[in-house]
Amino acid sequence: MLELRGVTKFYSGIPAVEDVSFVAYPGGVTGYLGPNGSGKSTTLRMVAGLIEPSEGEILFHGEPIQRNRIAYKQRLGYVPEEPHLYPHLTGSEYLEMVGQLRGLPERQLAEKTDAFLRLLALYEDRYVPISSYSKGMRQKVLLAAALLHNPEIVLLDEPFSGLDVNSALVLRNVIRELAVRGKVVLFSSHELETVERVSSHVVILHKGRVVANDSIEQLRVLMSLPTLEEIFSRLALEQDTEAVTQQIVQLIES
Amino acid sequence: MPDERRQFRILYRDFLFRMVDLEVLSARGEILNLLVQFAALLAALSFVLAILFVPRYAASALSKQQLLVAAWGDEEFLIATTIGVAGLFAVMSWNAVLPDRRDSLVLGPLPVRIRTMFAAKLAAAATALGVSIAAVNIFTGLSFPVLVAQPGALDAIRSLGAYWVTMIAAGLFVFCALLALQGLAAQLVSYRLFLRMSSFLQLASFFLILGVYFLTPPLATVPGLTGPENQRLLAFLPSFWFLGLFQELNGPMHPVFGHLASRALWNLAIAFSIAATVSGLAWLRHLRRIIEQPDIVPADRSHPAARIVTFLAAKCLSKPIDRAILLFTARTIARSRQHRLLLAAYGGIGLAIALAYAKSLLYGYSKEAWYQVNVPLLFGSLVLLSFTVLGVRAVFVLPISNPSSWIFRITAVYRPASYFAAVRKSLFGLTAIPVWIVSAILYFAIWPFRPALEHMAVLVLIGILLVERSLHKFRKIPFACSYLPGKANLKVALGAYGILFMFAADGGVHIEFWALHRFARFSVLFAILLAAAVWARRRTAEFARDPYNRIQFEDLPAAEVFALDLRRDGAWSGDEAYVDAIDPHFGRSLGARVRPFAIGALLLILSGIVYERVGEWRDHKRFPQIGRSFDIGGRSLNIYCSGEGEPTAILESGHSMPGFSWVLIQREIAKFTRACWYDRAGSGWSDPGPDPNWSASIARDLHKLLQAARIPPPYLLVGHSMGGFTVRVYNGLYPADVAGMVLVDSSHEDTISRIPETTTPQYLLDIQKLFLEVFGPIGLLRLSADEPDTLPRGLTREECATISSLVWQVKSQVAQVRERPLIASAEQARAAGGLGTLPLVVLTGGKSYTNPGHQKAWIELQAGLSRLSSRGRQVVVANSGHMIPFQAPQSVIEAVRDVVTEIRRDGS
Repeated sequence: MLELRGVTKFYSGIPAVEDVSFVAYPGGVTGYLGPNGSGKSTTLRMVAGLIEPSEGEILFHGEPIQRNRIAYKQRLGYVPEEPHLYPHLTGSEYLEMVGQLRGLPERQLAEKTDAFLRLLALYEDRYVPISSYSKGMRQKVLLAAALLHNPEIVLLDEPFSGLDVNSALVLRNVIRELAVRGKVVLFSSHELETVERVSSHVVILHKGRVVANDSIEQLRVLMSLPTLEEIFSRLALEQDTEAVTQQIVQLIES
Repeated sequence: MPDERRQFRILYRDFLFRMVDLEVLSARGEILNLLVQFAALLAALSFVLAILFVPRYAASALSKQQLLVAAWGDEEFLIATTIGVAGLFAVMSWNAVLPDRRDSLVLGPLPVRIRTMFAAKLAAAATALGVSIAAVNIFTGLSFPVLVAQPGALDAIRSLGAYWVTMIAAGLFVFCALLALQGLAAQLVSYRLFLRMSSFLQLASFFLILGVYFLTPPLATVPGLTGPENQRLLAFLPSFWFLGLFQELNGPMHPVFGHLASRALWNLAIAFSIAATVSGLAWLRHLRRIIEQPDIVPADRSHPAARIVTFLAAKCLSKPIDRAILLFTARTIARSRQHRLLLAAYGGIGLAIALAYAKSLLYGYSKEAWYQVNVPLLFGSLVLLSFTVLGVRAVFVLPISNPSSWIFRITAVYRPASYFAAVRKSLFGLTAIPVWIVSAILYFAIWPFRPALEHMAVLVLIGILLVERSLHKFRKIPFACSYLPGKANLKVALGAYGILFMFAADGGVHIEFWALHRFARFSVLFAILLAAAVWARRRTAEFARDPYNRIQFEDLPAAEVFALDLRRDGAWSGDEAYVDAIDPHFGRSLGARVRPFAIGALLLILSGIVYERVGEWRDHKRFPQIGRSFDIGGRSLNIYCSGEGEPTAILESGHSMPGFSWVLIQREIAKFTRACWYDRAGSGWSDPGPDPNWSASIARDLHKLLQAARIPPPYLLVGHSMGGFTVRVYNGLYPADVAGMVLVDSSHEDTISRIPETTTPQYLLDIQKLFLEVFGPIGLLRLSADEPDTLPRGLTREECATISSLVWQVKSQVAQVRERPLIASAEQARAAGGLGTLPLVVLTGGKSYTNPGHQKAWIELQAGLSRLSSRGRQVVVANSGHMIPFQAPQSVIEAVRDVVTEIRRDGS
């Protein structure tokens, strides 16, 4: 079980994330939603241990993650929002390096790497430098790197970004399957339809604060709205999209 | 329609700042600051050269014509320097004139004509090149031409013009030549192959420029430029072509410059034409094709080097973390142009230093041949090792794709000590080990086994020392740590460290060279280096084990600057707050820190004492006393005599030599008269004597010795060097005993005062004595003792070894100091007066001085000594220097024979 208690993060004195508390249970998929700049990626980075919260704590199975970072990271798989990968390494070399950094035995690593590359349709390009990969290809490499070591916690920040339809479908099923196998899955996305299909539980952020934290079914009942999109629009949307659209068109034509 | 001129100006400004790949030096640094620093460095070099040239030329005593000829060497040097700077600029701006993928993608969709882009790139390149040439010539270009101009204002202006035209032409030539090379490669091979070749061409050009600069022979003389054996070489050395151009423009002084100047112009025209053509073609033909190609060539899995490294990593490193770090490091260096370029800069500096030393070996200035142990080759391997280790270590801190380093944070599943160990193994594996292997192959091939092995042992220990020290307090994963915002990495202080390194390395190599000649010395050197390597390893291991250590991913300000964090950003987390104030040695007392060094010093002293004692025992066994000791009042002196007849020849040796050094001459003299050599107090097998012990004291000791040994007069006194003063003083004290004299290149009281070491102040002599008395008993003198490389004529190896052993005894060294200052003995000799009508022969070395003027004066002074007696005569021993007893012993024997004959004739 992954729990955030009163997690806050300040940047230059301004709270990017404020008093965020929720629980992600194993066996379920927790969707993490919010507009751009609402603090989703910041939260996931804190959960991944990349940055420290200014206040609050993050616990895994009741224990603060700082207490034994090494053990926590051994069980963590993370796909960041930006596909930052070493451009001079090939896809195969990158996965090999990640596996070695995680201490996977050489033979097992080689087999798993090959298998992942085949399954994610990267095998033909495995010796091509990552700098030549498309966005979708890089996303697949990130995914493979996050799952190579059979993590208990899977954090996915915009994992569908850049994926083609086929790969997106596969990923959706993988996420569901991971949850079925007892992993803690926390993922953020802008694709509300996907979140609605995959998640058992959602947390909605607006301006760094949690504005909803419940199962989708429960939210529908509470807010009397049929879809997650409408719930999200009510709680977190910041702009009058129609008005903004008109203004942009006028600017182009001016 | 967009204004083409405005587009040109915008693009020109952007291209100018991107001309040199300064991102290499600073990920987020200030480009303008770096450019200014580069220009300032070049201007500083120009200033230093101007400071050196101006006084030398202004104060020269040569005639104008002679000066102008002598200036050819300096002119060629300045041209070569400009060529070198322009060449390095061309290397650093490699491919900058040709179209690249970024320009194609960004400018392609915009309404910018290809010709505008090309013109802007050319103009930017020309500007940057011009600034480089101007900066390196700014001071020399205003002073040197005037110094080498004919008298007259118009001539000075002509000379200035000729200088600047030459420098611009020389710089332009090398830039165009390298641009032509790039352009030809781009035209002749596929774009993919060109990308692969390009970085190797860049590195090869870099090393070629450095190699030519440092290895160019000194040919800027009439024989050098006109010698038929040099013509082929001159055809390939651009600095000499442009020397010819300068001379032709300035008013040629020799017809040889004509064809050199035409070669310069022709080659410039050819290089320029090719460069312009191929660059233009590249822009026309490749711009669109470039967009379709990746900038980085797909990694060739079958590349032998890649497979070898992967194989070695798998075989030699059992831990996955070690393999991960090594492979990541090797691949980054191999594939990142920025990192390779920075590494090449370090390698280039090292190569430059090594080549500067190698020059003496190549052109025959070195005393030793290449197949003998020699300083240049020792230095070369040390420099190669040092710059390889330090270069790769320096490159470690240059990040690559810094945002991607998150993967190391996420996968930090080992203790920091494991990562530090992995980095250490990577640095060894990529730097020290390859250098050791290459060095071992070379040295075992060209040198005898023992010195090669010893040098390799030294190289291994120095490599360990360098790696351990360079990684001390290094908490980063290579290439995975960011810089502080705005930080520029052109460390001008590196220049100062480089100079210090030169001095230290030069001294160290000379120590090693000295140590390799004797096993005892090498043992001491090895022990010290081993102790240092072990200490460095322990320090690094202690640091790695420190419980406060974390891997560092962000470059932080000094630990003393701690953010108060009033905004509650939580930036200084436990993982990232490096606090060097938490020193692993915090809490260790001064005593605990000093203890290892004290123990090491104590062990060294004890070993030295044992070494000295054993050495003395062995010497005693190997070199038993020759002669007999006689008591002269509380101490004894040693004397050896043989032969029959009168007068008795008494042989007085020079400063620092034992009596046994006369062994060959005494043996021959003993065939026709009685002959004795003896050891002064403290020398040879005699007891130490009074302090000071000048000629008068020595003479009195000799008198007592001859009485104690019952050797009656008359004596024929033979004095060599300082011994000449002693025999003259003896004659002054005991004139009735002396029947004749031979002075063998004797010291002269009128010259002695001009030699600084003979007027040493007393306090310095006291310090010397103290040094000898303290360090002598712990073996330092014995370690320093050298046997002569060549045996003096007629002496056996055993006799030489005996003399060497006697010279290097502690008491002999102390005795030498007690005989100083030599000027005291000189004044005693002056006061002793003339020799009356004594038969006297003065032998003078024909090569005592290398300076002809000094030698002439020396012969004249020695002639004055011959006038001390009315029966004196001088004999110049043409084929000998000062050491006539070793270099021309027969002349001494003949001189003694002549004086013996005269004395006997007087007696009869």
